[in-house]
Amino acid sequence: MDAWYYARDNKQQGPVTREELRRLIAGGSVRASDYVWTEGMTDWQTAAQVPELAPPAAEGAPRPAMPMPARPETPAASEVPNYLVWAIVATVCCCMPGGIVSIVFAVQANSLRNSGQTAEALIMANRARTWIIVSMVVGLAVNLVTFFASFLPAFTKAFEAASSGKGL
Amino acid sequence: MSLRWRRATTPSRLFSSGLCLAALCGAAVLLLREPAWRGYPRCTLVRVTGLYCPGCGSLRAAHALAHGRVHEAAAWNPLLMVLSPLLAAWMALHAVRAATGKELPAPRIATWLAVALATLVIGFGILRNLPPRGSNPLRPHDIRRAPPSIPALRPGLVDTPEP
Repeated sequence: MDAWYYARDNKQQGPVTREELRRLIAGGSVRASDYVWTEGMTDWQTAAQVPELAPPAAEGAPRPAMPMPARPETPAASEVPNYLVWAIVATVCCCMPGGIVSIVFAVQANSLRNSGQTAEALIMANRARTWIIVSMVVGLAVNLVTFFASFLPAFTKAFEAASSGKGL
Repeated sequence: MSLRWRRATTPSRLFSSGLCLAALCGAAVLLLREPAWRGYPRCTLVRVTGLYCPGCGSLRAAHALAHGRVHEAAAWNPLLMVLSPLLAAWMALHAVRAATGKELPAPRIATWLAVALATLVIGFGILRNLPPRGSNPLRPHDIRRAPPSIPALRPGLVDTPEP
């Protein structure tokens, strides 16, 4: 019999005929990395490993069997930056409220990355980065303004003293 | 699954070099100047709200550490003492990146450690603001010299009108 099974999201699907499965692969709803099985196979294998499922060679120039995506769908764990130290520096140095938000995001990114969810981890890491930059810029600006504003009375007093001295 | 993601940028060599340079300048200023000196800025948060953030006192603690006065540093900001090995390791990573120009992999931190660090920083910020604020052991305070008692108020020295 021509009964094939395939696995999507850890759920068994099928049975479908070989032609149907090839169409699913060609259409992209079953990926080359998904597991397939049919009677006679000892274990599940990825679709790419089963030669019967390779698309029929077209007349003339042969097409590559599976077009490689331009970039992988999920980034490698090493591509997820760790902003935890930056977040702590932002909190401790200048800008507590935004810094705490960035700590929370950085911790989430770290946990997601450690559990292998790198795409989600990267989103969280980017959020942490945004909050670190915003809180550092805001904290620095506010502190600079108030720092110089605290000298303002002394400045005006000195200025008044100088101008009254000139008037006399 | 079509989760969209953007490649996060990792710090470049130039950035790491700038960071190391800034750290060296900061260390030099701390070795030469006294933070209690008037020219050091005071954090806006504590001036406006009176709240001690987790980093309050860390500049004075860093000054004390730079001069080898560990007890004084712990009184100004104990959190800095706990975090300084982590910060030193992190600065070393940036120094290596600045010196070699090689992109280093993002440091891997265990999940429990990251959660513990976040809890430590945020919890410390809460604990040091709890009353009694005047004698909370975690508040930034100076242990170098207790203010001398004012002579006029010493009982023996107070002028009592003679009968």
